[in-house]
Amino acid sequence: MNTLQTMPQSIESDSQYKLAIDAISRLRGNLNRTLLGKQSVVEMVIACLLSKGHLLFDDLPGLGKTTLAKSLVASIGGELSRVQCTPDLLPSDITGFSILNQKTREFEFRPGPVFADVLLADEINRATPRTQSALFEAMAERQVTVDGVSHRLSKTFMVIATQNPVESHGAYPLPEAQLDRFAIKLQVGYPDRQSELELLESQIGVAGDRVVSLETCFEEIDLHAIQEMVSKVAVELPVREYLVNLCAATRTHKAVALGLSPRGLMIWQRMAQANAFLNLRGFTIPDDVQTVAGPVLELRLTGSFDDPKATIEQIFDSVAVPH
Amino acid sequence: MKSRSLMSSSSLQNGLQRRGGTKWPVVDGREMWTLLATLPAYLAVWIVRAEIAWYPAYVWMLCIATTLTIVFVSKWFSRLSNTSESAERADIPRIVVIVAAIPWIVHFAYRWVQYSNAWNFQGEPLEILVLASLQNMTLAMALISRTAKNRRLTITMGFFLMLFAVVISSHNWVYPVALLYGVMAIWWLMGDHWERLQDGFVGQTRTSSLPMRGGVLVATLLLIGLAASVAVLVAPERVGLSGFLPTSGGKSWADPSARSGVGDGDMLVGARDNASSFGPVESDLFIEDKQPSLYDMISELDGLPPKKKKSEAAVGIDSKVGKTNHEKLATSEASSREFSTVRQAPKYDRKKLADKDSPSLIYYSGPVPQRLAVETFDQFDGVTWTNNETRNASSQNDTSVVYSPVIESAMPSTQLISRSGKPWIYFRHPKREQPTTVAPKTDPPIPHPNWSSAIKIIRFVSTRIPTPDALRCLHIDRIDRPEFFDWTQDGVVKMVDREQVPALTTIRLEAKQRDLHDLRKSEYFESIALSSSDATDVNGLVNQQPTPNETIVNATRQIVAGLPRGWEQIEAIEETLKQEFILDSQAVTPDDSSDPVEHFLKTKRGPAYLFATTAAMMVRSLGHESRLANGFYIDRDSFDVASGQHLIGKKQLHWWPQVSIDGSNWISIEPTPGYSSPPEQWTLFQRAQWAWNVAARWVRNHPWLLMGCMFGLAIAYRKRIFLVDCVLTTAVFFVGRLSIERRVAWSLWLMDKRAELAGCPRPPSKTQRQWFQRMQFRTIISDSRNSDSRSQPTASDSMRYVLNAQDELLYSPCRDGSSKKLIRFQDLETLQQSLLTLNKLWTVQAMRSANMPQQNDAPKLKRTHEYAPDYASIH
Repeated sequence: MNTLQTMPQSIESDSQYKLAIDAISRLRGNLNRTLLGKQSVVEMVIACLLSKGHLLFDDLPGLGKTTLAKSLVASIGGELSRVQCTPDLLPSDITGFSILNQKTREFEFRPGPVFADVLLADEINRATPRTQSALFEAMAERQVTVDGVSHRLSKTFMVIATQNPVESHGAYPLPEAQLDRFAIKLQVGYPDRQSELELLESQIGVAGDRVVSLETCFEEIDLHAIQEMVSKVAVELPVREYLVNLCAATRTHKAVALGLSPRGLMIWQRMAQANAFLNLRGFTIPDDVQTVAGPVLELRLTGSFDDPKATIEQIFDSVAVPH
Repeated sequence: MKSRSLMSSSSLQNGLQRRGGTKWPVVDGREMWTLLATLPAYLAVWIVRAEIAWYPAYVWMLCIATTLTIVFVSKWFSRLSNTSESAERADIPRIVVIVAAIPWIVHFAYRWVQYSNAWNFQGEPLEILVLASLQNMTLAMALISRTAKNRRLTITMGFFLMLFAVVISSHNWVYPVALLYGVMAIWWLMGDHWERLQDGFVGQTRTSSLPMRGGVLVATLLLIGLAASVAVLVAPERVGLSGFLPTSGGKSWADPSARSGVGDGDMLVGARDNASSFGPVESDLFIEDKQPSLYDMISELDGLPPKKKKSEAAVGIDSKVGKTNHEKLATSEASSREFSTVRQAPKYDRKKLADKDSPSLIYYSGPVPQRLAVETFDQFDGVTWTNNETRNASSQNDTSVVYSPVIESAMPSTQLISRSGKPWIYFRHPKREQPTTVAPKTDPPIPHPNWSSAIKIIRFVSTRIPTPDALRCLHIDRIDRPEFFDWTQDGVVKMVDREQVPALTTIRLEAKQRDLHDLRKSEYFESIALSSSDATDVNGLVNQQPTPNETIVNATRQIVAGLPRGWEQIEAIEETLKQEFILDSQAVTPDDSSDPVEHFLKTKRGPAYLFATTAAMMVRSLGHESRLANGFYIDRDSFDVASGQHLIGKKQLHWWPQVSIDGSNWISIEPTPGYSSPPEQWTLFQRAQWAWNVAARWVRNHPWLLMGCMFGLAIAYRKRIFLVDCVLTTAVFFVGRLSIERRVAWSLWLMDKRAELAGCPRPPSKTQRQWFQRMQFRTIISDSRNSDSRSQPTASDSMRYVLNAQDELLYSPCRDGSSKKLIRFQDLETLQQSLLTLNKLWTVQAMRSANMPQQNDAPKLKRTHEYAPDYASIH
């Protein structure tokens, strides 16, 4: 039995759409091969990519965060730059800086690692707030301004940051303002037994880096074109109302001190669109909203609750699904 | 913070936490406060409605019922949809229309009942109905309003209601209620004010809520111009409020239900010619009438000596009452609708008025069915009935044999009692001399609740007053002398020394309500039976009766066979005549017949008087006294809707037998088919006893049927879920035949209902996809059943397919603005098959066997990123 195959409303050509679907399938395959047994995480990563969002991994070391980021970059076929955040990292280490060219007697701009398709910021909470702030402009507006000159970043610029929740000593927790600029927060979690067995098996006889062998997925169609397609996925009034109701519920929930911001709401809708696209639907349904809710809300809701999942569950229970 | 504390202590927290909260049914502090501020206004209108009603108790009962209905309707409908603002916009018109219709429905239902029984409620005037609609709408709005705009509208409506109530009502209760309302409303206003201030501080830019569009502007100007031109061009007196408020001086249209206001409503005017009012005495019409009157005695008493032959008994009245104009006045014999014109006309052109005629003999207002006896006959010689009066007249010896002593002692005595300033003549039945040997345990059945009715004499020329059974008292306005009334020798009330009861006299009657309960007790009957066998010597009536002939005795014996002696036998006679004989006014006895009763028993067909005669004879053959009564039978057929009373003419003449068990109380029985006795007054206990007896007899007679029913019911109870499911499925099958879109929607609705029946209802916050996929994850809904045939979709596939179709219907955008169709669906055939499979496989049984956990202990749904879509189906 086939699932419905309906195109997003305003996509001109069928072939474009088919190319996009193929590309995403390949990407999904790549990531799943790299990160075994974590289909749902992979889905969210792809959704985040398609919704032009930035990704925050909040998990223990060694769970494959960096591997995932690397294979993502390899699949996109773009340029990856990596910053290992330490307390002595300076803003200009990220954005780049101007240097005086002795020959021309002019300042020349040396782009920093931010000028890449994907910026992997490892252990971002170890950088000083000043350095973290340097990322603000880049993440929100996809440009950096150095010495009064603005430099555009890549169209598909994406930040994948990781942070370690365990070692809080000597760390600078990300402020709410910065957290809000990420689209979602993901926990990879330990793989299951079967996946670990497969993992070990796959490592036998492999000397080099697995990621390198991945094929690029976006040769026939631009990633940016797919992102535009996603932005055109329909969100009808009932679903929008549902989103707004849920958003209001986060603000009125007893345990939540800081509810969802309008920016968060917009990201939520975009993530839902991406999820609908990934499910080959041209329109968004409440299931999409619920599916992406966890990563979107866990990043943003702060307050006096121990279990964010339970709180999100309560919020959902208080709002009726539109019919 | 400070502002919130103004609202109420509990709303402080509520307000902060639920700011803009949308969860139903938790009531926001502001919503609760709006409701509290609306309730006094709502109550005040009920006070007004009760104040102007004839029977306030009914209005309060109506109040409770209406309030409950409104609460139910509001909650039910707003629960059906979710609580978003657009849903509220959709809910409010629906609910408001329903609750606004309630008073009208009640009104017309009462009017409809009125056709059959004019007794109780006359409905409500138009403006009160309109107000009641507004009142209901206000309460409903207060119950369902979630947005500030609607809350303000509600309060405004409540304010109007309160204003109306205070202006129109003079009831004492209105003022405390208004005070309460004032306090509440001011409190509400303060809260609302602070709320607005706070909203302003948030810094949201407010757009003007009044779009100044050109079209709106032009339309407004046009409306104003139209109103102005109407005001200028049309004469002011025509504009007026002509007929707008029928109770308040409207002139072109009268509302029959109006009963108070600035102008006189019809009902008030109707008091003059309505039988249930105190009649023409209270108007000047009667006094000035040329017809012989009870009341124009002033000159006769004080002036000329009354001519013996022509004089009629009358009462003197105050000269002030009589000092009115001496022109000709109209008399109205017509029913009340026409009377309003009579009321207005005398000021302008009195002479043009024509008297209103009516073919009726009597008007009657009161409970039906009812029989008013005019004459009774106690002796039957086999062909002819006679009574004392006719016998005396034929004997030409007036003075010697007027009353036999026995009969005179049995006649009730008259006594004057003043009730609320009005003279009432009471009739007291003398206690019959009881045999010393047996004293009955109870008094003769004289039930106390009275049943009052009124008659108005129109063309009935007689001194006799038509009266119901067991007349207790009567009243004619200003007739305060008992000697005006006496009993005829055959036991009917008459007016003494008059040629006739004057036309247009209104007589109020109170009778004891029929109560045969004691009579039905066998022990009572036994005691009476003993005494009556002794009494045959004492009572001249029984002695004079010829013994019924053999035919009647035999027929009676057949009828009462197996029944104990008592009232049951008499009822058996009634029933048998009603069931087995045919009423036919043409089937008269042939002239040569010497025994009409025998002929009647043979042909089983005859007019009413033969029914009555036969029944009377049969009762006599059982050893009881009986007689034949002649008079009027009133039932709903004679009801005149326009005037709200019964018009009694020749058609209503009727004959019926009366039975006396104790010699003084005559009880009418009704053997004629198509006629019935007045309803009996039963206490709750008597009713229960009777119901028990009937039920017990029925069970004795139909044991197998009862067992069958019980068995069926037990099975139905055991299989109730299956039955409900069947009904639902059938309904969906029929409803869903219309279009594929509806079939999808209804099928999924059916799934929801089935899940409810199976004990795992889908919570409103879960989507159907989640809920049913969970179900199919937990169990295998017999996919194996049709796994052989490839063409048929499996249960889970069909569910997914239908859900997809529903998503398409609900959430996909309209492409061309037309209504959503599933034309984009690739494979309609598959969808239809899926629907069939869905209905067939996802049964309640299947869901129950799925052992779905309850909502609470269900593991957390895969809502977060752990949720893995079923990608296998995609690839």
